[in-house]
Amino acid sequence: MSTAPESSQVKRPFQRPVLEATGPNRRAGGFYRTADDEQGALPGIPLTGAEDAVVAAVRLGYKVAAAQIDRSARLARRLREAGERAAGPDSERKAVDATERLLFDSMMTGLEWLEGVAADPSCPLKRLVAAEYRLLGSLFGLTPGAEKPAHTAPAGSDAAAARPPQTPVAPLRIVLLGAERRAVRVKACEIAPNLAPAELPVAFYSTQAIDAPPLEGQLVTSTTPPILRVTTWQRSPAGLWRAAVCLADGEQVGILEIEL
Amino acid sequence: MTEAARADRVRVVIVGGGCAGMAAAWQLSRLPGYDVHLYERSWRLGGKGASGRDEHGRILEHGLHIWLGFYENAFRMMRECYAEVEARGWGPAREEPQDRLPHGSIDEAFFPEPHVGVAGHNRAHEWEVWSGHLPPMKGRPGDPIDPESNPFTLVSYLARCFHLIKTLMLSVVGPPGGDVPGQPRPEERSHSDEAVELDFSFDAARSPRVLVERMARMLRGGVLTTAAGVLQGVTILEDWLRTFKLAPQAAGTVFEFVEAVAAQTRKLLHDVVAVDERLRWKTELIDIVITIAVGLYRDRVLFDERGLDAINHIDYRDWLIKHGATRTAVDSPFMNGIYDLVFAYRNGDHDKRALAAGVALRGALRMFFTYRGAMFFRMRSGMGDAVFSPLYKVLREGTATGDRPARGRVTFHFLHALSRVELDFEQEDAGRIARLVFTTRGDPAALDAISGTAALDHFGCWPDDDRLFASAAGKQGEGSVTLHADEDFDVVILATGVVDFVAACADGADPKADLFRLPQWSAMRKHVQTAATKAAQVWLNRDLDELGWHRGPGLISALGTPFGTWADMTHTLGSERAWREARARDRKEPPPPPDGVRSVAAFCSVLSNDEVESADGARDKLTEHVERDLHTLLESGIASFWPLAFSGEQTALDALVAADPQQAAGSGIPGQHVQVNFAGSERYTLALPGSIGHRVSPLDRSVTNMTIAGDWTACGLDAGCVEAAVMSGMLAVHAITGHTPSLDDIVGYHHP
Repeated sequence: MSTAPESSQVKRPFQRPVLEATGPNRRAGGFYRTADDEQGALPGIPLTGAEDAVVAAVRLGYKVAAAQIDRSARLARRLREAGERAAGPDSERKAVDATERLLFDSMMTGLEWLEGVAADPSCPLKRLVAAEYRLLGSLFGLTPGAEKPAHTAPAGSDAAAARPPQTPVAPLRIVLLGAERRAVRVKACEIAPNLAPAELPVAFYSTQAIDAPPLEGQLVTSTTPPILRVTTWQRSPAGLWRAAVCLADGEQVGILEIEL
Repeated sequence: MTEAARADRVRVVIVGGGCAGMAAAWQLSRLPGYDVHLYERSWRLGGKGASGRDEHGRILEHGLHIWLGFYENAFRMMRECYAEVEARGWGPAREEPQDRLPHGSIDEAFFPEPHVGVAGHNRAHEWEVWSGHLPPMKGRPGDPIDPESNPFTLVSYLARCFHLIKTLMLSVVGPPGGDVPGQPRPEERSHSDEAVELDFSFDAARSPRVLVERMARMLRGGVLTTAAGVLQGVTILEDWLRTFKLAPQAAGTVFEFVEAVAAQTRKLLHDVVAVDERLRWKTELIDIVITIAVGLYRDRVLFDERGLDAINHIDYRDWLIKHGATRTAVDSPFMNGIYDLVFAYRNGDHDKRALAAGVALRGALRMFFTYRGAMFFRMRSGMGDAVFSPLYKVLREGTATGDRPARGRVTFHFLHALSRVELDFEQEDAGRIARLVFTTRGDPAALDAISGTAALDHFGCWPDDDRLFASAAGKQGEGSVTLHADEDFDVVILATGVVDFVAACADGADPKADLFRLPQWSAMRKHVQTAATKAAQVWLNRDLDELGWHRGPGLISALGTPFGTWADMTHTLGSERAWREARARDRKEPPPPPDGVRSVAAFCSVLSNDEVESADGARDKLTEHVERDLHTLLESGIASFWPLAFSGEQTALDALVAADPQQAAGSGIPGQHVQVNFAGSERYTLALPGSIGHRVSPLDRSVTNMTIAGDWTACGLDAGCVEAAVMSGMLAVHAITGHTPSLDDIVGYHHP
């Protein structure tokens, strides 16, 4: 020892105190507070449980509701005052009429503005309207898939992968095998286009009853339409059954869904 | 002081003068009964936050330093510190060099930075930059928290969430072509943005164009937000339905409905984007936000007693994918920017992205929802100048005047490198430090004499080398200092970086005295990892507009070049010039001529272990390697952002000015500084998945006269940043006193 700290008389060895807490209290109440004023390092009341959070949320809801009511009352008062200015203070009926006219005029002005905006070729609103129309068209089946712009969904993009394919249910001939034939309805048939003619084994699994034995079948793609041969059983639970269509090497080339 | 009074005092040794060590010293200095000695291996304070001035006054940084608006504990320390600075009248204009500091108040030292951006390629492989103006919030970080500005309330989180979404929506949507680097941002868009974002009380009748754009944005953004909200609700409903085991038939029907709605909503989002490619980035951001909301609900983390730590075992991207994010969203520039900013690459390898999900989410929640003032703050000089110089001066002198709180002095010992920690283990699971051994670069007594008086230059800055200690070093090459427990100190705060800590505490010769025989320390050593980093600064003879960058100063990440992040640092030029003018005044010379510098750019990135190994760990070789990276960047990589710097044979490299302001620009001396941080405490602490739970808290008591501090400890934030280091320093002091500061005083320590 050659420099500071300065040596002094020997004391009993220092030991760090035993602490009450040895880590953060990560529970919601350890950190999040209500907005209520309370003295302390952090203002607010700790939310120590879900109930506290609910109570705080309800309080907040009351405040929001009160603010909305107050705002609505102010709006009504202003409208009434506007009506009275237009028709005189003694005629409530005229005031109501004037207020109605005021609202109507406002709406018409808004619509005219919207029409004007949509007519402007450089306005982004036009692009939005076009997108919306296209969307509505596709929803109601008015837009043929072939006419979709090529750039809407690049092949292999995640956005395309994220949404379920919109392939309509293909005509599929059903051939029931076995003695216990159940009514089968095809709910979905998604098969890769240009699939080489083949007879592919399929196994349907119930989407609701996980333990139910699978339904064995075969998909023949060499015909038009393809043929699905499937064996049904009396004990098989009703509901949706789903099967993967795979090539011999396991590559999945389609999905079939049937309903018993 | 009597012997008895001295005997009652607790002698604390702090090893390491970075943010953590200085925060601990700051806390202890305000408490009566503690004698504090701080040992630092360098000639300056700051650690990873250090900066120095060269002989021309240029600010040479360890790395790129930005403070976030949620650094409540760090800002509180600096506000207290600058209150002392102001009370003493220290500042850049003082005549006496010993009373000078680069800044006289915290508002001079720090200023808000509301602009932040990320860069990325669009589908046509062209560069695009998204930059956002983040709204100012009530209050200032570090001020006492009052009900008006308290961000830690449910109401505040909700309000700020809506505010943020609104801002992001408004700032992302813009006319095509407006976000191409190198092309001026259209005036009308900029004007509209400002009007829409900042002034909601504008007179629509006087500004019909603004009204039209505003309505269009609201409509277009409304479609997305509505769809996003539906999707979020449906996904949560789906999860809720799975929780309640309904009858199979009923559940199947409901699931079909839910799946259909979710699919249709995704389709809506996708179709809108397909019509307008400009919205793609927005949907990626929405995707991430939705996924976070759904994931937080599914994993029940906000009400889990472990909080977000419950998902620290998984990488942030993997967690997002697990909860339904698309691949394009997790590979988006926003995500790349987050990983770049925190160097989240295992072994520094860009192909090994790794960031603990809980730490990332906690950081995001704190960053977006609890900032006060601005989301980012910049310093008008180096971090060493703005932070560590005033802390050093105030702590060195102590205070006891006026109505300010009394503050004891801290004794500094520079150029003392901790070489060994000798431990005694009398019990199986608890030990004590017996001795601390330091290696000094010079005569210890002579070093201490300078440490207490003359470690700063004429402007109150740290030099970029140990020239002020040269006389002490010359007296005796390398020295040694040994401190003995109970004789020289009572308790130690080891506030070094984790690499130096491990090196000092491992005792290969005597396994019984090896700290890492204890399981928690052994696990910490195994799992807590670091990465090397590189940084570069260039002084240019053109301003940003002349370089072709018209979006103003800001912080741009995810560049995808040899350096992932670029920040404009032109605002530091004033302090560099003030440094030179003060020197001229002291020497009674005429004011220095202009140096021709029009802008300063700083870059930083991670440095892979392979790169370090290929240079054999030699600093010179590695510096040359990073210089080549910098030149590659300036010769080609930055062309998309500074297009006007490139014409014919000319590149941005030709815009570098001479290092010596006395010489004319273009004299052949490159105006650049390259920094490699690959050894010991220079390295950046990573928040790797699976490692966070193995961090050791400063509250750990397995060594009864020792605690630890640093951003590598379990300090509540558990991320490599200033705030984490300051929190750990406060925790270390709590561990010693048992009460002050209380855990509630450490803002954010309990954050879920």
